[in-house]
Amino acid sequence: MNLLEVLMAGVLFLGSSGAAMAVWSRTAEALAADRERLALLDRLEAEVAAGESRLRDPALRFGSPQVSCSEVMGRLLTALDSAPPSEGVVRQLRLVASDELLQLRLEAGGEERVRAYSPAAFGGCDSPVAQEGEGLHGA
Amino acid sequence: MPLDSPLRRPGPPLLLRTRAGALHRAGERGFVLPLAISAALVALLGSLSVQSAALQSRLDQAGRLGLRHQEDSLAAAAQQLVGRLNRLHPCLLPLPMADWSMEGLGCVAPHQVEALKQGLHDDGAWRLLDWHPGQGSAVALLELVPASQRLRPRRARFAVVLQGEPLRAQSLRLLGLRGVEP
Repeated sequence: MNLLEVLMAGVLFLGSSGAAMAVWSRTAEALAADRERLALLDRLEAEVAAGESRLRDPALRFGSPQVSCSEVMGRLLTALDSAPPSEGVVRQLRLVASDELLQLRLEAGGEERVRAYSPAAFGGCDSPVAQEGEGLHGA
Repeated sequence: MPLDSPLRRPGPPLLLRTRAGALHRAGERGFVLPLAISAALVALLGSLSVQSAALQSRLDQAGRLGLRHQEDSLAAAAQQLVGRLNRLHPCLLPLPMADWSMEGLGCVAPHQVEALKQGLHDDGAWRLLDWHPGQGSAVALLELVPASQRLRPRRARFAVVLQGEPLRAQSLRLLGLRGVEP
């Protein structure tokens, strides 16, 4: 064993272990970010499911052929907005006039989910929704 | 120069001593450097493996997010469809889709049926592939029309609760996205 050999081995080992540590560190950071993103997506999914379960409540009859679509829209808004969103989740409700749909937008940490609901799909309604424009509601 | 100096004595003793020293040095050189090379390889291969696992995880996550967005689009399409059926063509609710083009239906003309089976949403076009009514409910199969022919169309089944007099769809629920892929 001579000094040159030891030096070469040391440089090789230190270089490779340094590079490996850098990769591991970056990977660990990426995995932590992925886990956080996954948690956000799960939170949004839970929020979507909670909203849909409120809309499927058999005790509530939102519409019927005799009720106006605007009134049903108001009932849907009330049901979707009846509970505060989870921490960190921003909920927005707005009317998409061209489609006569109520749009539910949930956002958390840069991720978002968008659901849309037609008032006529909840038991029917008797007239088109009034074209009221956008920005009905926000939470 | 001493009499017993190796240089004074040509032949085997010098050779033996030289070979022994060379062998000894070779044995020492073969210990540290290969060990360092092996350790370096293990460290680099390990980090590569971890990095590829992380990349795979990220790809999976992107796929899951894409699925959820497609699920949102399909849910919106189902709302549009059921809203139209409830409001404009309620006589079709208890009929299977194959009978929608029958003559004599009060709430729809045959030429309106094709338009009813498709629509547009933010993320593109959708079409209804099947409507299968049962006792108090119906199952709708919808498909997002892919932007490119190379992409596989995404489909979803929805359970629709049918109740009331006159009969109307009361609510709908996603039954599955992956299970109905072609």
